[in-house]
Amino acid sequence: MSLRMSTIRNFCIVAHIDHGKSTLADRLIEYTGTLQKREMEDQLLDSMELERERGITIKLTPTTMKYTQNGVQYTLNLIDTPGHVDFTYEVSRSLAACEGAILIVDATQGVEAQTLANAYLATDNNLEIVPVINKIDLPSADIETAKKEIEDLIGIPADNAPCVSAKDGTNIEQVLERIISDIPSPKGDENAPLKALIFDSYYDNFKGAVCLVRLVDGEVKVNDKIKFMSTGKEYDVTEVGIFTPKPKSTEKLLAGDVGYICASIKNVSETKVGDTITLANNMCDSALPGYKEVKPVVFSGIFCVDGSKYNDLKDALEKLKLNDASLEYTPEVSQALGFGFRCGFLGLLHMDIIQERLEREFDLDLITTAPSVNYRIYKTDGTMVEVSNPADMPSPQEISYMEEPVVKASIFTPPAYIGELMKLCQEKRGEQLDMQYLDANRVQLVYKIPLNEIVYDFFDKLKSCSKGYASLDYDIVGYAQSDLVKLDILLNGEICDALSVIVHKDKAYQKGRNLAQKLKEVIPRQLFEVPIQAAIGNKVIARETIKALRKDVLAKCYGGDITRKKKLLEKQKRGKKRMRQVGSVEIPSEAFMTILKID
Amino acid sequence: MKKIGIYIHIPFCRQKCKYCAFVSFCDLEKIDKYIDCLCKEIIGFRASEDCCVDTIYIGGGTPSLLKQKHIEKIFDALHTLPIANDCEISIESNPNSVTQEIANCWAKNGINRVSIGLQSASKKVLKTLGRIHSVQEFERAVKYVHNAGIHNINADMMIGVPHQSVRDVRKTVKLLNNQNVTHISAYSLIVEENTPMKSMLDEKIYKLPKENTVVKMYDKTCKMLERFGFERYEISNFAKVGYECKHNLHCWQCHEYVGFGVAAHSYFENERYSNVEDIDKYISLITKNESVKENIVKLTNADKIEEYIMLGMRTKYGIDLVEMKKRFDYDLLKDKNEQIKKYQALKLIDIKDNILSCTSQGFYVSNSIIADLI
Repeated sequence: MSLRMSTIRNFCIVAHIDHGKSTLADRLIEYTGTLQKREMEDQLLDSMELERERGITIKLTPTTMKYTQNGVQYTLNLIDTPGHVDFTYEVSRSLAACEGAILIVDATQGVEAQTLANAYLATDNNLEIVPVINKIDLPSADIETAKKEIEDLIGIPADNAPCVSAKDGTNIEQVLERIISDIPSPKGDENAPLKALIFDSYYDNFKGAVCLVRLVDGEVKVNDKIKFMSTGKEYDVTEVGIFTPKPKSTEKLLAGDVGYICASIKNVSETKVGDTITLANNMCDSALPGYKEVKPVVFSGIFCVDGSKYNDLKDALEKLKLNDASLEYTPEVSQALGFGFRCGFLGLLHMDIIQERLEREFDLDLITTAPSVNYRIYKTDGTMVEVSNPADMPSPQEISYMEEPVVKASIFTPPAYIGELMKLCQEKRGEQLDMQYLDANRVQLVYKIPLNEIVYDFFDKLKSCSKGYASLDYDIVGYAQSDLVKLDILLNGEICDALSVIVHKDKAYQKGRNLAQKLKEVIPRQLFEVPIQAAIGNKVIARETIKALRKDVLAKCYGGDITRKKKLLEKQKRGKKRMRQVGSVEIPSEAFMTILKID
Repeated sequence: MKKIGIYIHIPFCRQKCKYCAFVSFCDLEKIDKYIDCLCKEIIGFRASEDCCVDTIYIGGGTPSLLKQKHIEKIFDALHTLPIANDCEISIESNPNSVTQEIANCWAKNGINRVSIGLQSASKKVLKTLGRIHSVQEFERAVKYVHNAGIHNINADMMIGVPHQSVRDVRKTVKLLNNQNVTHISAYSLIVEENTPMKSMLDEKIYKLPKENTVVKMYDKTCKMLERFGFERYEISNFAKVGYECKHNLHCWQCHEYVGFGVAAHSYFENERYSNVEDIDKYISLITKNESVKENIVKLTNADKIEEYIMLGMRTKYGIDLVEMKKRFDYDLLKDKNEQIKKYQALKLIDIKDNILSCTSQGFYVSNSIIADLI
C-alpha cells in the first residue's frame, strides 16, 4: 500500500433521525479547519431548505478534510448518508464507498429503530463501526444506558466510545482520533485499471450530471474516456475534483480517493447509483458488487388545482427529475382531475418531499390522489399484470387472485405503548413475527404488514399512539396473496375516478361509509340533489345524499353595492374555478384529499 | 339625449339599526354644515350639454330627519341641473320622523315617491333589528304621505331575521297591502361585519332562522304579493304595474348615475367611483374646493360585460343576448354554452326571444348562476 493511501480514511456517519448527525459533521468540518467558523452555516451538509426544515438529510454531500496528527497529515473523506428508510439503497451504496462508520447514539434517547437498521447496514458492508455518544450536554443524558444499549443491542464494544456534544463541540478531537486509529485505510491498486463506484450524482446547469465517486482501483483524469459498466455508455472526462465541501477541481483522482467526475453527461438517470466506472480502453475485470436498479414502491397521481397549470407541473417535475433519478412520472388523464402525472416514489417520505418541493419551490397548488402500491393481478386467462393505479384494475370477472407487497416492520417502543401499537398493527392487517424486550425500557415488535396499509397514515398513527416515542423501520420482503377490491365513489351516479382506491375487502365497507360521510361534509350543496355512493363493482355499499341548495343570499343591490357585489361574485367564481367537475357535480379540491385521511 | 340618475346621501340617523353597515352618523349637529357642502358639490357638478336628469334618489341614513330648510336648499341646488319634467324623485324615510308638515314640504318640492322603512309588522322583530319606530307610526306616516298627494310609496321589509316566523312575514305582507303601497322591497337580512347584529349572532344571543324557513318566508311573500297584484321585477323588488323604481332600474340596466354626499357612489363616463366616507374629511375637502372622489375604477369592456350580466340577471327583464353582441361584441350563448344548458335543464333560467333571465326558482340561487355566467 502506498503511503498516500495509508493516510486516507473514508467514513460516513449513521444515526437515527435527530440524533445529531449533521451537527457532528459540521463540527468535524469546523474542527479540521476545512471551513472557518464564519463560513459555516448550521448543518452545512443539509443543503436543501426543506431538508433543513425537517432536520433530515436526503442528498449526500461528501467533504474532504485534512487533519494532522503526530506530524502526519491525514485525508478524511466524510460521506454523508440520508437517514431514512426510503433511501436504504442509496445509503447502502454510500456505505460501500467507506471503510468505516461513525454510529451516533443520542444519550437521551438510546438506540432507536434506525440506529439498528443503519448499524446492520454498516456491518453488512463490512464497515468498522465507531460508536459515538452525543448530546452529553443535555441534563437528561444517560451515557451509561446508551453504552449498554449499544453493547447489548448492536453487539459492539462501547466502553471507550467518545462522549461528545456536537452542539457545544465537546470532545470532537476524540472522534477524529478514533477515525484515524480505528477505521482502516482503503485497500486498492493505484496501478490497476480504473474501478470507481458511483454513490450519488447531482445535476449542474453548466457541467451536466456530476458523478460522486469512490475510486477503488486505478486513477482518472481529464480527457480519459470512461465507461459506465451497467449501461455500457462512454464519456470523455471534462473535470475531476474533490469537495471542500464546495467542488474543487484537481489534476486527477487516485485509488482510495472520494471526489467527483464530470463528463458532459446530460442526465442524472444515466449516472446510476451503484454503477461502476472504468476506462473504455482499459477496462477492469468485473463491476463492483451490489448494483441494482431502484424501483419506486409508492405511487400517486399529481394534478394541479388549476388545470391550466399542467405545463408548469410538467416543467417542475422535469427539473426535479434532473437531480432525482429515482423519481418516475408518466402523464395521466383523470376524468375528474384532468391532465396530470402518475408518479412513482421510493417511499412515503420521498413522496412527501417531492410534493412539498413542487408546491414550495414551484409555487403549484396540487391535488394528489391516494397513495397506492404495485399490485400483482393474476388473471383468469393465466397472465399477470402489475397495477399501481386503481383506474387500471381489470374488472372483477377477469381477476383470478391478487397479490400485494408486504413489509417487515420493526418497531422500537417503550413497553407502555405495546398494547396500543399491537392494536394498530392488527388494524393494519399486521401479523406479528416477533416481540423482544431489549431491556427494561425498550421493546422491539416485528410485524409483517401489507405495504398499502403503511402508505396511508401508519407512521402518523404510530407516532400518535406512542406519544412520539416509537420508531419504525421497514423493508419490503415480498408479495402475499390478498383479498383486494377496488372501491369506487359515485357522485350523482358517475364514478369519480380520482377517488377510487384498492383496499382489502374486509375494510372496504368501513372505508366506503366513512368516505361517503366525509364527502358529504366537504362537497358544497349544488343546485340539485347529489347522491354519494360507495361501490364495489356494481354493488353499492354505502350512500349519503347532499341536499340541493335552496337559496343563496337575497341581498339588495343598489348603486352603492355594485362594486362590492361584483367582488363577491368574482370570489364565488374563483371558488368555482378551483372546483373539479364530475358529471355535473362541482367538487372542491379538498374533497380529493379527504381520502388521504380516512380509515 | 343621455339620461342620468342622481343619488344624494344623507348620512344621519337618530339611532343606528343593529344590522346597518351604511355610512351614517348620529351627531345631528353637523347637518347644517353638511347640507351646505352637499349643495356646493351638486352645484359644482358639470353635466354635459346633452344630458338630462330623469331620476333623483335621496337616501341614507335617514333623509326624513331633514328639515324644510334643508330640503329647499337641496332642491335649489338640484335645479341648477337639467331635470326632466317627468323626473322620478324619491326620498327614504323612517316612520317615526315623518310628519304631515315635512310630507307636504316634500310634495311641494317635487318629490313624487317616498320609501318608508317598515321592515316588519312584528314588534318583536323590530326590536331585534333595533328599529326605533312602531307599526302604528308606519301607518301614520303612510297616511301623511298620501295626504300630501304622494301616492307612489315603497315599503321595505326584511326576511330571515332572528326570532322571525313565517307568520310574522305573512302579517307584514298583509299590512303593506292594506296600506295601499305601490312598491315593496323584500330582502333578506345580510349580516355585515362590525355590526351589533354580527356580534350578537357570534355570541349566540341571536340565532338566524333555518334556510328552509327562510325559503318558506320568501315563497310565501312572493305568492301573496302576486295575489295582491305585485310583480317581482327584480330579485328583491315587487311593484304594481307601472310603479317600478326607475332609479334602481337605471342601476340594474347600467345607466349612468352620479352620487353626491359622503360615501355616495357614482357610475359616470365609464368610471365607477365613490366619495370619501369620513364626514369631516368630506366637509373639509368641499370647503377647500377639493375633489372628494376616491376608488376610481375605469371600466374595461370585460367589466362592463360582467356588470351587465350580474345586474341584468337580477331583473325579470333579464339580459338581451343580441344587445350584448352589439354593445360588447360578446356572444354569451357561445362562451357559456355548457353552463347555460345546465341551468336551462334545471329550469333555473329561461331564454325567450334572445332574452336570458332567471325563472322564479332561479332567483333564489341567482348568485350561483351569475357566478357561472361571468
